[in-house]
Amino acid sequence: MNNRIEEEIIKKCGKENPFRVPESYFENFTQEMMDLLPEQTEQPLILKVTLWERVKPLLYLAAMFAGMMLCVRYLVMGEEENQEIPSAIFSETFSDQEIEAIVNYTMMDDYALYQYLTDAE
Amino acid sequence: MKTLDEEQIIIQLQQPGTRKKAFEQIVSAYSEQLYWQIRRMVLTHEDANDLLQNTFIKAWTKLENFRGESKMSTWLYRIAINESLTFLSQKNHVQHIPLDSPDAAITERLEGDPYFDGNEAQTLLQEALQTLPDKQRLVFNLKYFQEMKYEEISELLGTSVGALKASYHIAVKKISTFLEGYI
Repeated sequence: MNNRIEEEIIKKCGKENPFRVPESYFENFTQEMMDLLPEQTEQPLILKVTLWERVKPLLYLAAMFAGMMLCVRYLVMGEEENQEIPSAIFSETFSDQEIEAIVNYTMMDDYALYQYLTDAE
Repeated sequence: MKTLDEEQIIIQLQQPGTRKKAFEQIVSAYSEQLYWQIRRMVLTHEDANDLLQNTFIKAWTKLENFRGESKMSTWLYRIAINESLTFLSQKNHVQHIPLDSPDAAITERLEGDPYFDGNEAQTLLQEALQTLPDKQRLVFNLKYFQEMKYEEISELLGTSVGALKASYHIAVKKISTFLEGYI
C-alpha cells in the first residue's frame, strides 16, 4: 500500500532536484573551503581508540572460548550427568520406609538396590 | 563523485605533512553529496553553503574523533545532519511563520529564491515536506531523493530499520494527504 502511495507522489511530483547552485559553485568550493580551515598543530594525529574498542576483540575471544568449553563439557560430561540426576532425585525424595516398600514390591535385593543408587557397574 | 582510497587517506591524515592534502581530497569527493543533503533540509543556498562549510570545519578540527569504524562518508554525513538539525531547531525558535498560512510563507520563500526553479508540483512537494517534523523529513529525503537503503539510513541516524520504515510510511501518507488538496 505504501509503495502505491509513494508511486503516486513520484507520478505527481517526480524525483528531480528543483534546487540550483551559483555557477561554478562546486568547482570553486574545495579551494574556498581549504582557505577557511584553521591551522592545526604539526603533531602526528593519533586517532582516538576507546577502552571498549581496545578490549572488544579480547572479550569476543573470551566469549568464544567459553562457548567452546561449554560445548565440549556438554558433549563429554552430558551422559554421565544425565545418569546421576535420577539417583540423586531418588535418594532426596523418598524416605527409608518408602524405599523399603518399593524394594519389597519390586523384589529387588540389597545388592541390586546398592548398584542402582550408586550407579556401580 | 570521486572515489577515495580510504585506508590511504587515513594514513595521510595522520601525518602533518600530508594531512591538508588528504583533507582536500575528502572535501573534493564529498562536498557535492553533502551539499544536496543539507540543501534539501534548509532550502536556501546561503544556509546550505554555511552549513557545509561548518561541517568540514568541524570534521577538520575533530579529525582525531574519526576512528575508522565507519566509512568517512558516514562520519561526514552524521556531522552534516547534526549541523542541519541544530540549525533548524535554532531557526524554529526565532523564526515567526504566520500561523494562518505557513505554506504560503514557504511558497513565497521558494519563489523568491533565484536558486530554486521547481514547477508547481515540486514547490507543493517542498511545502508538504515542511509540514513534517525535521527528523521525519530527513528520513524522507534520504529514502525518496537519495534512494538510500533503510540499513544505510539506520547506520547514519542510529535508528532501527523498523522505526525508519514506520517513519517513512507516515511521511509518505502525510505528503499524499497534503497533495490531494492541490493536485
